[in-house]
Amino acid sequence: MASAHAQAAAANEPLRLVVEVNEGIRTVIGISRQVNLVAINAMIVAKQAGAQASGFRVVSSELRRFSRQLDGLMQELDRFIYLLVHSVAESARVHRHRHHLDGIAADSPAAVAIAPARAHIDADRERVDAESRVRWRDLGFHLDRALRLCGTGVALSRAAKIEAVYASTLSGDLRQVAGEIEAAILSILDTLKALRTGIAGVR
Amino acid sequence: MKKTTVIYQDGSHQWAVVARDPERPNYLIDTNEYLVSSGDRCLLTDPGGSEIFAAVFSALTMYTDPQRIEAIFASHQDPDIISSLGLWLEFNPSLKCHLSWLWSEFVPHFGGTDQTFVNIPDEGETIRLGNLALEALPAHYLHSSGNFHLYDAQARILFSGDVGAALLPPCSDLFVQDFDRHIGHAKGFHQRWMGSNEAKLDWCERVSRLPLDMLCPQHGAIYRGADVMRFINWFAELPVGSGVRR
Repeated sequence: MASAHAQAAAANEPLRLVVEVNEGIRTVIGISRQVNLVAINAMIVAKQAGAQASGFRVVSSELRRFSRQLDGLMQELDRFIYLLVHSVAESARVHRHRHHLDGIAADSPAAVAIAPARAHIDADRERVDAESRVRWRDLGFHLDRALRLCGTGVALSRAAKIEAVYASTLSGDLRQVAGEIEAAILSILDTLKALRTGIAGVR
Repeated sequence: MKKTTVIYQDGSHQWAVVARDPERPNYLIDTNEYLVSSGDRCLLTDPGGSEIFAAVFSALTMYTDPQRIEAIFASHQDPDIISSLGLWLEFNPSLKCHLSWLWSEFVPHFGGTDQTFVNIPDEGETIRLGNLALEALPAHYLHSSGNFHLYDAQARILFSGDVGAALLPPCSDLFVQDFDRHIGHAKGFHQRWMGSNEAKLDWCERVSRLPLDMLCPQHGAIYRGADVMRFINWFAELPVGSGVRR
């Protein structure tokens, strides 16, 4: 029985990962939308501050673009999640079918009779597993893209902190806003890194 | 492993039952599968759940070439009846499954396509197996809302699905030996699983008019000879739809 439980747990592992990635994507989308809102506010404040905050205004505008790009990338990941759930379900079905045939004694006439069906299921299993590997790999590529984008986001948020210094009377407020944006992007970065590490071991 | 036992033979016309698996895990209900043969063509009734596919397939292969099985008759939609369908189709993708039209969009969740299913209308129909004519008899609400039994007039055998079922101790006799003792194992099952007294009386009235030598349920032991009528009379008098534990 212990091995049956272990098998079930192993079979559930990809599904657990898909759920984790899905939750991570929701978190990133949520934070990215916050960054967008904060960046809009920063642009308004920078406009009030006049010419001295023009650099901050440009960086804020770039940060908005960044958050929209990140949001778009995360929406694309949604499609991957759908395909992955499909792969995981299909893989579970084929593995289960194969497991049911394993109950037939190898040296029995039934084993000979069922051999073509077994070969068919094995071929199906290979196809489904290969498809699944491609989908996990593509998910990894997408997360890598998101991580690179976040690198740009972090650089932008640091540039915003520097530009805030030049905003004379509103400098304190803008530095605080830039700090909030930086913290949000670093949190996105942490989430994406954790997801990337999580799926690195999937074969 | 399950064992296949011939219960009727007249030349190449045979009924065999696959039953009694001593290795069956106790969390799975025990089931009987019946193989009807006519010449080199076979039909399997209620092939069982996917968990017991290996046991059923192995037992059948000891008895016949499973490629001869061209059709499956599913009395209703439950998993212990037909969830192995996907595995049977892996073995023989051209297998046909005769089933109430009511479940035609439900059972494909276990496997199969629109090419697999032969929908039985509510009033029943004749299923041909070579020269043999088998009758799908309506048994709706006993216990499923779309339910059929399979009657072989030539062999005088009725496959009765869950009607006549009994929850017996492991490795009990294949045939009912002592009706009064046996029926105690059937009573609670019928009270709970059969939901309509009206459907039950209608079934009893129709089946009592059939020439019958054997009544073969999907669980438990086979009724033969006088025990067939004894069962029908007992069932007619049993109030059903009353088995809820309080």
